[in-house]
Amino acid sequence: MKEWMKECWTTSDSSGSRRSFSLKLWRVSVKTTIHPTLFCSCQQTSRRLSINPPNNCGSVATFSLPPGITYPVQIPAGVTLQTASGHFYKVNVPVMVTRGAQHVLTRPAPTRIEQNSNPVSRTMAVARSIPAHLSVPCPPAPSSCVASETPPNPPQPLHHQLCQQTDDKPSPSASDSPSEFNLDDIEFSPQPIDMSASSFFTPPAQGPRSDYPQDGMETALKEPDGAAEESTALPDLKAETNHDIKLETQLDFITQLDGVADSSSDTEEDDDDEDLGLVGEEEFLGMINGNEEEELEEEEDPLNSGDDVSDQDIPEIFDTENVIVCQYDKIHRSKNRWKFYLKDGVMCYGGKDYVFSKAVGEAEW
Amino acid sequence: MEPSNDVALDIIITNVVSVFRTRCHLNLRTIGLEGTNVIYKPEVGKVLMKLRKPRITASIWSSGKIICTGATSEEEAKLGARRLARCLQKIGFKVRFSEFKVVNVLAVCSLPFQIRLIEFTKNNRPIASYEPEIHPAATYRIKNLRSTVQVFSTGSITVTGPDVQTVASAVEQIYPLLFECRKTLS
Repeated sequence: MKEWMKECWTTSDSSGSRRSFSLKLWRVSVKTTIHPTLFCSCQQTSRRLSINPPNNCGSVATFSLPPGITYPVQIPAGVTLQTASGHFYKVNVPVMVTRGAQHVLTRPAPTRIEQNSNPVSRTMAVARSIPAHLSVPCPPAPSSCVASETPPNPPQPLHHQLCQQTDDKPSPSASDSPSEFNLDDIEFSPQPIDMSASSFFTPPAQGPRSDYPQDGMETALKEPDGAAEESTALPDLKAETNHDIKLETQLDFITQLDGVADSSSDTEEDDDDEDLGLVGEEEFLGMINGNEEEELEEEEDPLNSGDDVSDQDIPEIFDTENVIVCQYDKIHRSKNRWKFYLKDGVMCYGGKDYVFSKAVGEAEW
Repeated sequence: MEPSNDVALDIIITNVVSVFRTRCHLNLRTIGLEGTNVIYKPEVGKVLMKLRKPRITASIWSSGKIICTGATSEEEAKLGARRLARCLQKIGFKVRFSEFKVVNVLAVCSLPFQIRLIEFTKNNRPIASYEPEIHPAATYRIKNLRSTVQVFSTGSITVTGPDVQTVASAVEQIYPLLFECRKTLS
């Protein structure tokens, strides 16, 4: 990449002076978001700016635990994990990875968790529940990120001990510590369940929540069983918990009416599909005069009708093979009168070739 | 449109300007290369496409906004705009003909008498303005109709307004005022 970029910049300069393209640009932007030690490979290209895995689906990098591992697994602080995609993540806080059904949290969770009706939502729900799951009670791991996965979590109560956990957590929010990924910079794919998932975080755990999710999210562990959906949602959760928790801790479940559930666009689409002739158009005009929006949409489609004019002209003009290939001094037009001042060209006219150093022409369109 | 007097005035619409949107981004370079009867102006960022049948010229922007000029009636403007959209569609863009609107109509009318502009301006002081050093015509702006009439001493007037109906009303409205200030042979 570097070599290619250098090539682009140097070959275009005819004077011979070399323009050094500042690859520093690439690096600078990388550094702001990622700790240098973590992504050594990222300094080469900007494509790795985001922490997203190459598939760039906004999902969390998943770490594969060695098979045969018994859950719960406790990962101490300071461990650097490598994702399947090759990225490195450094865990600053001890992490506890548990299997789905275990709920270490003691706080009853809001029933909203049922949002996970589909796998995606499940992912989100689980992801969101992770901060909640950060169980304090594990004495050895003060702030642990429990990667509980089972999608069918909904009915199970979420235990939020966020308040307590954050107290135990030594590290501040990710944005502060340079060794933390700032997942806020990551682009996350839109999640349909945003609103509902964020509702998980009911009043009790507000401020503190913002801290550990960032730490915990980084170590989303992939269950060999395949209940890996939770891991994909971690970064999303992280980003959202930061904002959503603070904003929506007090909010009850809000039905999402837009996006997928939006039906307003359907009516317009139906109108477009109608294929009307010119006559039909006028009929509609009479009916639709009151409805301005539909008016516009319906009249689009009979674009077929107003077409024929150009078709007759084009084939006539291009039947001949008379061509002039030249340079121009000036091309001038007044209304439909054209004047051509040409130079240095060859003309193929009537099958014969002519060469000229100057040519002047006039035409009417 | 018949004026209040017995004389029938010929109001000739010379230009109708309309706009519409294609609701999709347009690649001007593609239009310039593949379109027929197009003038690509990269320095301005637009393509001019001229049509013969309704003789119109359209300015096409990459945003999908198109301004269509040169039509001689509102219907012709719409027809030309549709044909233009059809041309773009044939080039390959997902064109949707939407938000068509006639924005300006220019008409000329020749009155059978000449006019004393200074008197006319004096009689219609705030609404009419006349600056012979700048422009030889007196400008009469009709605020409620949002139209402008330019009165020449020869008796020719040009009227611009948002639509044909407004233009006709403007002529009707100004005719008596001009009739008062006409030059009579005496």
